[in-house]
Amino acid sequence: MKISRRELLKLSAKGSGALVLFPLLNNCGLSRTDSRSKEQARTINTWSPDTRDAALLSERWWHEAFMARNPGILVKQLTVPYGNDTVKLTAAHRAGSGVPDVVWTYDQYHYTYGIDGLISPVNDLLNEIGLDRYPAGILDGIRINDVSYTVPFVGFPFFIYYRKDLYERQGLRIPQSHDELLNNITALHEPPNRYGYILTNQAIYDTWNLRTAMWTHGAYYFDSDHQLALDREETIAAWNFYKRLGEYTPPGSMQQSDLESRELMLDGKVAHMLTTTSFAANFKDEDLKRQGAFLYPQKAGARGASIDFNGLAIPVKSKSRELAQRFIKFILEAKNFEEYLTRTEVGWIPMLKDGWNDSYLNHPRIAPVKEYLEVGRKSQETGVIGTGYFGPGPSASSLVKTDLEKQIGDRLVTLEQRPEQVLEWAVKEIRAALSS
Amino acid sequence: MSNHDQPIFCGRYKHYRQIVGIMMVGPVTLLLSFLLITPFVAAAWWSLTEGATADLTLRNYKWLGNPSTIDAFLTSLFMGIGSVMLEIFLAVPLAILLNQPLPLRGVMRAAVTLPWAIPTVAVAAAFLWLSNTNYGLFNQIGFATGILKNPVSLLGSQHLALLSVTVAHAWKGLPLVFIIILASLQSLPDELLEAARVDGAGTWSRFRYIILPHLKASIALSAVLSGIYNFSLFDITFLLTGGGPAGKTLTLPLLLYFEQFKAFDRGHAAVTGISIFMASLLALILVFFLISLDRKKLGTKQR
Repeated sequence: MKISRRELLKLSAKGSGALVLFPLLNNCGLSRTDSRSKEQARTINTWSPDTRDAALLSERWWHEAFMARNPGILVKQLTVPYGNDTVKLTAAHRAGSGVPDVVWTYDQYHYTYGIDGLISPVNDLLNEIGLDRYPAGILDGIRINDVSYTVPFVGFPFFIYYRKDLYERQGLRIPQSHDELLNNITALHEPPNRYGYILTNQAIYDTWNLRTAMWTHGAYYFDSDHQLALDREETIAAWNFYKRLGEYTPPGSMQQSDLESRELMLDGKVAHMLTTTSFAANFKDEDLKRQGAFLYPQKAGARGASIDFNGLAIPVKSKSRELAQRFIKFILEAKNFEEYLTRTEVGWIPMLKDGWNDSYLNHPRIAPVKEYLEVGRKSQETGVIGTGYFGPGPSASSLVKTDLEKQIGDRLVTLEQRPEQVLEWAVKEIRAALSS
Repeated sequence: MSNHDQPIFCGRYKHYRQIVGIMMVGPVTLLLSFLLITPFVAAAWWSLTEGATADLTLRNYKWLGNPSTIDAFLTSLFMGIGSVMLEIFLAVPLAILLNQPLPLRGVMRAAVTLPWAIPTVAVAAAFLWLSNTNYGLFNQIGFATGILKNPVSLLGSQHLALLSVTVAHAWKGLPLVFIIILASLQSLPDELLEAARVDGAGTWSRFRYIILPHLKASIALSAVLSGIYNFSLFDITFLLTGGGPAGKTLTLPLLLYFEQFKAFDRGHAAVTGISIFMASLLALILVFFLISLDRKKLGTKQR
């Protein structure tokens, strides 16, 4: 084979070019993509909503402990406050970028995120963690068609805080029925110095009062077949009761958040308040003496108060599902979980049965508020998660998107409309939302 | 003819002038097109499509007849007109006062323009504190003076919330109107007022027949600018009431936000955006039409 001088020069140039470029390409181009994807695969991005110090510090401990156990894996946390997370997650999901690997769920989002295709099923993960570690009602309360989308870890059930000292002074008994509760509220109502009760309704996560009034009267949005079941006399009774509560609430409280209302309760301006176990975290010594707790009264056969918890979910578009699972399993290991519970917000109670042990209850941060947490634990037994009175239904998303519950509360108390009038409006709105 | 008077491009290079012009205006035009026209065209397109389909439909526009949309429009209108009236009612006397040779006039002028310089979130936080039912200054003063027996919720009452938010809008928008009117007042020749005084015109007559006619155009201009600004204002209402109580302060911009980011309904959000734009445009056209009518009546030429 003859090769001309020109061809030889061409071949040499090509060969030397390839020799020079190959290592360069290897270092810059291809391998950079490789290293980037490796880095992505070894990073867990988490979104959590709570901004309180204890919540953030305990989370940092969790992340650092996980990274210490798993060298080379990086945990990056972003605080996306309550209410903003749904928008951000939906936007990230639709854009296909910036989706976290672990996201916290709460309220109806435990299942609406799943219905909307934002988070993926975690049945396998729950099996690995151990289904028997959870109270049965909790998992039933979030399961849709046998699919669970979130891993419950810390809860905050609702019950009524009341002024123990005033009860003692006026000889009042713990109410066993809605009427008795109203009587006690009336007895302690002395505006403008003190109001009998406080209702809040600022956002969807402040609508627990309406829900609890409904659940405890045996009223519900959807029946066990997920059909709209609002048009019942129990609903009217519940909404009448809610309106009565509104007569004893401080002016403007319907526009306030639950956290703002807690200030009023601590300042002694309110005698009763429905809120969660985490309120106990605000108590000083004198509050422990004067604040009592009891379960919301229930009609015979009806469910209990609204309950809620934080769950951990894995978005459908997570880039590191395997790591996310490992990360969730890590915190639910008995020892880690106990450590986390004693570090996090006081009043975030364990959702796993084995979390309720002497070591947890006698911890110096927990022991002073033990009695409130125990009331919360009892409330959890009959409580309702989100609006799923008979368990979550596929229609829940429509209720969340229309903000209907908040509007019902506003119409009943702020606009002083009759329950029958509100019912007529609500049924029409829900039907329209469901059909769209 | 000096060198300065000679055209830069002449003769065979005459068309270079156009090219240079296009080169200078081009980037800005492109940038503005991208920033202003693209979102508008996108919103118009989304308003005509439903869901993920590309089929054109007017179905989204039906939503404008929805009672909640009409309520939001009326609330926006009330806030727009109400805050403009308040701003003008306050800005005119303030501008006349601070146009006088008073001691510390500069400081007082700066104080009036302060709300414009303060970030809205700080204005809202201050207003929230002032109007707080239990700890706010307004209620505390009411109790201390004996005017109030029970606390009043300015932002939580269905009867007072809209008025309170309108006042907050006016407070935030006052400096713009004040500056426009003050600037106009400073262009009023002192001789005119002096001559009127010599002719025996009192304070009211000077205001009625000299100052007010002189301010007419500035008032109209500030009314249009401020009206459009207040009609489409989002931040302060969102921060103060979030549209509550019971939707009493739900304006069109808030409705747009809720439709886009709560209900995730892009079509409805786009229709709301387009309606805000159209309403502002109509207001602008109407006011300029009225001004031109007024000028024709007076026989003045438009400059």
